[in-house]
Amino acid sequence: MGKPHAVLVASCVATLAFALAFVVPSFVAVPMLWYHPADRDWTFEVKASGIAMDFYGRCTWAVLASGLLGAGGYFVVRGRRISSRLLAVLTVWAIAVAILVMAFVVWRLVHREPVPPPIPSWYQPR
Amino acid sequence: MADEPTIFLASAARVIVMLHAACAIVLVGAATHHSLVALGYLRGVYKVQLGRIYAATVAAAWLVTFTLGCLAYPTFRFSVRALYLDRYEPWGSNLFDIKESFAALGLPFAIAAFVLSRVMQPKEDRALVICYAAMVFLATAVVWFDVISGIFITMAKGV
Repeated sequence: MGKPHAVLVASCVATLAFALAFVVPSFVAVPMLWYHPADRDWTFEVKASGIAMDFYGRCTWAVLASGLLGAGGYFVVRGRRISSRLLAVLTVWAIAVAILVMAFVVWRLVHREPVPPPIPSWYQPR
Repeated sequence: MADEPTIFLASAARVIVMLHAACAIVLVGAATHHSLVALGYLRGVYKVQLGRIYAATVAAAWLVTFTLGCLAYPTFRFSVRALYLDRYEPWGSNLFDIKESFAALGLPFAIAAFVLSRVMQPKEDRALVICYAAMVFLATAVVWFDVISGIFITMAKGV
């Protein structure tokens, strides 16, 4: 049972790390990779101005944190005996944190009032 | 913005979104079937090979759907969200951001379920089965939410 249990521990650590890393920029002013679609340009800053997307940067940061901590978790617990109780607790934490982060995302966005940019002169609605 | 900017992959955006939708159909079907197989594990019905196939299909379809969505995202962000949704249908902008965040947050669960499906023996390890099933159910709920949200947003304004 060693390997499957170690894989579950690593999976839980990785999902926890992903969810937390994904939401951290909402609370802490960390520099992030931003993409500016109109300029086809990338910047690395805390808050970009104009039409900009932080989704790629946020996902990259979360994937890195998740991969590193998940792999670390696997190598730490590999070969050790892990109780069923610890597995259940870790899974509950991983799922609860993910749901909590999802709830936070909904709470933050559901009443957001986006500020549209001025309509450009060339724009033709279709 | 005096001249119309050239957005990355804008000319292919409709084809990309069509493929994104096609992969999402595969994903929602596989995820739902995967949930039924996981439910079977909890009830003592062990279709292990089927579970592995669905877990692999869900992980692959999720990755492909997600990647295609990322490729169409610059066009959506500029031409759809900035120029239309933010002004006329702000709920669509907000729902899209919720949907994309859910898709990202659910991806680790799909990958975890895939890896677990390869190494676990459902008949022999009850504790692992419960954890696995919980991950599969959450991933399936996210997929259904994202598919329904995507349909609503596209009805408001597509690329």
